[in-house]
Amino acid sequence: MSNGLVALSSVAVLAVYTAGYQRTRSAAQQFDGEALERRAAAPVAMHPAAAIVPPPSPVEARASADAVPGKLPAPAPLPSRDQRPANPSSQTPSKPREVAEARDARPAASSSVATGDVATPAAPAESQPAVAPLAATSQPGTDVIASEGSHRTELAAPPIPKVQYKDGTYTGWGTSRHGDIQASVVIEGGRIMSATIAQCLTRYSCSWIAPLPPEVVARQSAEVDYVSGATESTNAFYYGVLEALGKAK
Amino acid sequence: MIQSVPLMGTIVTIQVVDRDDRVYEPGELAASIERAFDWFREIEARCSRFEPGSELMRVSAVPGVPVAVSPLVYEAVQFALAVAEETSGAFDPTVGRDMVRRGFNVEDRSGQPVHTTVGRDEGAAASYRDVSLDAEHHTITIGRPLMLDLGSIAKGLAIDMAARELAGFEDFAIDAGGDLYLSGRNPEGGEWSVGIRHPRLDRELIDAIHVSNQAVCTSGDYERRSAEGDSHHLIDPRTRESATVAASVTVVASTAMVADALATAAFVLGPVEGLQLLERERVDGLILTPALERFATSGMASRCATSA
Repeated sequence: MSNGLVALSSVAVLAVYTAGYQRTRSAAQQFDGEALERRAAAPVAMHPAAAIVPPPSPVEARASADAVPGKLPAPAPLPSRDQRPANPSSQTPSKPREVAEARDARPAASSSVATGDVATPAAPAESQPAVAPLAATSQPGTDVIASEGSHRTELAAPPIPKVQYKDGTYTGWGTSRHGDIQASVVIEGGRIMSATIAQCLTRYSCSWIAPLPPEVVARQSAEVDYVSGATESTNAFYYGVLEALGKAK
Repeated sequence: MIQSVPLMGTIVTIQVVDRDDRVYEPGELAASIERAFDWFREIEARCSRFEPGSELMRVSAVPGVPVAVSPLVYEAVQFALAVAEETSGAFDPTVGRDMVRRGFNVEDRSGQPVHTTVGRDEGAAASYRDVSLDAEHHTITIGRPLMLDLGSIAKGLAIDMAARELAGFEDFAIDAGGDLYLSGRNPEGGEWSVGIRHPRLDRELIDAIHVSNQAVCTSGDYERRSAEGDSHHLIDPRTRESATVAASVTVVASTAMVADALATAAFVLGPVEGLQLLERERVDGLILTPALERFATSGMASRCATSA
């Protein structure tokens, strides 16, 4: 078989993009609300994992929702995801995307032939026609529904809380084999205004790492635009930023 | 415009080249970049194996029960299974439990231990064959206790989604901790140049290539080392040990999802079989051994500044 996985990946990308996470999200939030009501009525945990483990505060990811450590001044506040229309294409120039999708539709078609001989349990060939209907028929979406015979148990979709940070400047340390990096994060109006390196105790001079933020990993070498393969100092800075954000809660 | 945000266990940078001759609606560029980052957040929330409430963990929690999932998780798992099938299990999304056992059970972001839903003695023989999909009802069923881990596929998918979100801008770059997608041209108007990290020297490049409208992903044994010692985070699903025959694998492909998955699989397979896999899938790739021997696909050899 040739080119099978490449084509399959294009199909998957197209399918997920077409389904759109906004649609997914609004459905998930609605479901969350319903699930909360159910939980209030019957406080017995339906989900074993939920009973054992308190949900960790997903600070960091959500934290960065408002992170604009770019070199440009922070743009005017964007409408929050929740306020955006469910239709993902309504805010983007639709023309280029249609072109792009048309381009990707071809490998999709060929892949059903190419993968026909692969006995994946998923039977990808069968699911491919689902790509278009996926968007049109609006999948039950997102909400995790376990069904066992006729008995159906509904589980809430993962909640995605927004974290509000307290204004101020916070620091955090990240470590790498080459030494420690201290990140400094400035919060204004609950938003991350900048994330920079305050100091570094590494074998290398601070001057090499200093240019990293706000561009962090971009332009990390004079000769190339980007580098493939994670670098230690990037990871150290990441952990430093997370520690700093933890203090801003 | 360039922005960096800590996401998915690394720093994600998005750069859109703002050409003088391009006219955007006010805020259009910033809004598009924000939506691109939103894809990372969305996929991280749904595919995390560090959050017990994530969709992926919910599937792993109930063996034998079909669990309806979002199109996002369904497609990701379906692709993961296809890669597993194609690589005869060298890539296997059910190795999650082994990673937990080996000390990769510390949450990337908070440092808190992961709570696996799989007991210590369970799932020893679990493989991707124990995961089944129902295309009609969009459900996933695990046949026995196991932990799904989409790791590299989730990150690749997030990069691809972000790239699609930015498709109207032509010239942009997405960097998720060294996994890249480069579109169009760089700010100087030339092809994007990408350095390949030296697998043994953190700040050195072992080679550089030029790419456009493609993803470049690298799997290396240097990425995250286990607290237990020499083992790293890439597990050979067939032996359940850390793969040791390659030091790093770099793959260039049309999507980050396939580039990331094939880099991981080729890393496990090692130089000879790994190279065969990359050639068979018609992607470009470079495999480096711990002794820094180079194994490059024919297409990659012509990309590299240093001839393989």
